[in-house]
Amino acid sequence: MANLIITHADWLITVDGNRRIFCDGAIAIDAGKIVAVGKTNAVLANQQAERVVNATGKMVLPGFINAHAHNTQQLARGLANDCHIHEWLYGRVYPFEDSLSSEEALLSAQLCQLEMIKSGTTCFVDPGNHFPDEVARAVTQSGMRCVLTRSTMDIHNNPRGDLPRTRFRESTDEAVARLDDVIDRLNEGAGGRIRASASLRNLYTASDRLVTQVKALADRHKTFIQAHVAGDHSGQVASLARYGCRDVERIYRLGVLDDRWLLVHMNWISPRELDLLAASKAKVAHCPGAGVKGGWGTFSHGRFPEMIERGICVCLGTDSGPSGNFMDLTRAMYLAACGFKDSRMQAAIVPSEGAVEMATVNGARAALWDDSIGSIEVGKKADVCLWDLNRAEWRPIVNPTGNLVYSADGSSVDTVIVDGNILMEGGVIKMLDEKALLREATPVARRIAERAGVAHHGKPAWPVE
Amino acid sequence: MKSDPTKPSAPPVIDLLIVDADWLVTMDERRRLIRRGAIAVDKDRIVAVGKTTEVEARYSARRTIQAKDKVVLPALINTHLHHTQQLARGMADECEIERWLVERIYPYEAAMTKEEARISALAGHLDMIKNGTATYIDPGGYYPDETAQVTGETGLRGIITRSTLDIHTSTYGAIPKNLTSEDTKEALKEGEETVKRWHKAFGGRLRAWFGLRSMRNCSDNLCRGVKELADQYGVGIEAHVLGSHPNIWASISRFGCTDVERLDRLGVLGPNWLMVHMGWVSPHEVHLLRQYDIKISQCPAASMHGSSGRSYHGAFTEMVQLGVCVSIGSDSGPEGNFNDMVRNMYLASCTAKDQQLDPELMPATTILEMAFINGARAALWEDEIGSLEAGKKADIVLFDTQKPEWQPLHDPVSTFVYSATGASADTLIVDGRIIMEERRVLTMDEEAVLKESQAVAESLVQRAGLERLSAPRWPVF
Repeated sequence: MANLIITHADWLITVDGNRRIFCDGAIAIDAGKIVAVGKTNAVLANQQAERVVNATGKMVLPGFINAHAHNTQQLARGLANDCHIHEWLYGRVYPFEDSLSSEEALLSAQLCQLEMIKSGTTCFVDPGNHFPDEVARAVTQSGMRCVLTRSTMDIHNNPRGDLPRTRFRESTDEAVARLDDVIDRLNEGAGGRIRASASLRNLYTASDRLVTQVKALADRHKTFIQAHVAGDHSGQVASLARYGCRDVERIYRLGVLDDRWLLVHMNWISPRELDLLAASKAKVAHCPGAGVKGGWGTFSHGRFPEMIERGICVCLGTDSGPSGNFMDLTRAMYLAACGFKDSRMQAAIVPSEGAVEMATVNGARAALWDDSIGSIEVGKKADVCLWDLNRAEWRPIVNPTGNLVYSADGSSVDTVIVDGNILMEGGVIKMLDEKALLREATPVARRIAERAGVAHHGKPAWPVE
Repeated sequence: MKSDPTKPSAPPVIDLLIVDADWLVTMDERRRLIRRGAIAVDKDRIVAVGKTTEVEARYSARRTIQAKDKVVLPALINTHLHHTQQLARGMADECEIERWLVERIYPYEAAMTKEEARISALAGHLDMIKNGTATYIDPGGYYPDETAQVTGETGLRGIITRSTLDIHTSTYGAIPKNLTSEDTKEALKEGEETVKRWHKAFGGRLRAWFGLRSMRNCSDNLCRGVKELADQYGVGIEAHVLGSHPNIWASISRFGCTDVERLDRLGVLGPNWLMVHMGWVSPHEVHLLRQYDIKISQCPAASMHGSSGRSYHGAFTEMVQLGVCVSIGSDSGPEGNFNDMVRNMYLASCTAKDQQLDPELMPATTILEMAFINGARAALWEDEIGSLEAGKKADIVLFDTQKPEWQPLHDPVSTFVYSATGASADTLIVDGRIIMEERRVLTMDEEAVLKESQAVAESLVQRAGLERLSAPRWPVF
């Protein structure tokens, strides 16, 4: 007997190898895994369950995988709008992160995960910070799945600014040792829902020795390495000034470029770098929300359609509260699908199906977790979401992937299941105290901002009475 | 009994008080933001705006709405929305404008019956209400009466038109005869009839204008005739202008110049034009737009979905900085694909930043001015809507901030534009009447409208011959 059967879904989008879609679809879930997928009558003929959820009027999708989600920046939302990246990092976000206590980091991660669950994300990849333990604690509570890490930097001064003279400043050896410890302690936590990877915060703040040592560490732990690369044009200029070559080229020259990199942003990539990516099969996390709000030229200068054409695995991320400003991966899919339509004036570029693949199966590949998540298939983990289709932005439906990408946003997510456990049902969060978390957010954020000396950046431009 | 002059007289009784708003975004001349704000409403108008303690002391209300944890804004103004296309959502994804029109939308519009147009208008209204929009400007289709009647029922505010054209072929292709085959005289007559029938209907909530479907399909005589009539009735003119790059060549090949220049040569430019899209303006045209105070509707989502290139090749930032009145619209179900003004505002801001590699451009404050101040001006209705001020119409929306995307909240203006979507619209008031309360729509049967929308679309997609073209590409079992 299965634990749970979801029946009568108007549309069941499997994103399996054949990309099958079922009308009147059903899934049976047992012990956290999917045990049957198909038409409702076929599934019910062979399965019985303790609980049956009728999904009439709903769409069932694999849970989204957010390939770039800074959990500990969530409380900095609103403090770093309308500014260039050097100011964004060195004037706003680094000082903010530097002022976080561990309790505040936990609240930040809880709020971030709350927003992700509410908009249909079941798994995220966090690029790391100084509080991986708090992110892990929040995941243990929220029920999500994640890859977390501790990010590393060993170059403390660069043309963009100087790092705060605190925990941000680590030697190469300290950074590597601390990351090693984090992976040792946190990998395979929360019943296997937590995995740990390696991470470089940025290429231009990483010495050659740090790049090679962190990569060696990742290899030793059989995991991948994340890095922010080529987000905006000035980042490329900084790398060229210091190393005489662009970031991907540099990783290649160091002899460590392979398919276990998750390169984040990647808006400024040369044709030569495209070749290197295609040959190495390194993965790319496209964060369109961060790019457009930051004015980084994601769609005016990015080459994501070319990456997809070359077979490079492009997945999707939202980035963070002060960067992309929302954690809704549906909105990221919309941007990924529509940005190049406008900038290139090509209507069929990045079709809706392509955007869905980025948010599901490609995210799973990037997280090296595609054996267990990313699609609705027998034997995979039961990470699925139910979407309410009886809403104004969804009707009429003639093609569900089209409406999902072009019309909906994450607010129509109704039910979220991870590892077979229901995290949200009918829009109600089960594992976290949503109301209490939301109440704490603004006062706590204000306190941190004041401590960090950045509170004035959040003030409205118009007179307040 | 004599009144005692030492005792204060009883406060006047009004219809509605909204109190304790976490933030009240007034959009008044000083752009005041009021903490713990309140609005007093009597009949269809705002009678006072201020701090809750002050406003509460001055009035006694028949009804009070508690707006704690809410951001209160003027209700949104959508300056471009095709009601009759609402049910074509999903029928024209991923095709360029020529195919979008000739292969998909013209057949869909030609197949549509009056009753279906009514359902389509209801669905469009519902999509607006749920996102906090009170006022729309519809560029017209061939069923303006149905849209008008729906506005009468649902309580929204709107401007309708009957779109007209008198040239039936262009480089884009031919317009089907069963859609329209009218000549100049007939087009002008139909347009005028619509204005006569509906202008200032429903206690003034509805207005009716003239409309040109697309400049390449409109003769010089039609342009002159429409301008003359619009001036005579004191109304505006809507026209799709410079929506996509091929438009320029369609106009140049027929008329020898691009659209705005052509209208200038005809001597018909003036402040009652609302030009929609405007992605491909020349510097000279920008100059003309400013000189004549012409109103613009930018539809960013329509450009993105429609691959029109207006966001990444247009000059909206320049127009805004030069003082051209640029407002924001959502367009339609198959172009833009959602009627959420908040997401359109986000796109208007962020695509400009991305286009010009400058995050400082088009900040949230500018975007709110485009949506509200310019939106009201584009509708030629700025005396009554677009801000929360005593004397203006009571068109008010409450957004719920107890949502993860709204927190933490330091500045309601930037959080609204960069983080929120219309899905957090909680309560909508139009003309003093509560249209939606805590997301429950009070003036239509939401469930029935959604059901009928689906049924009508399933029938239309077949009758218009679009079933195969719009079906999912992944295999369906």
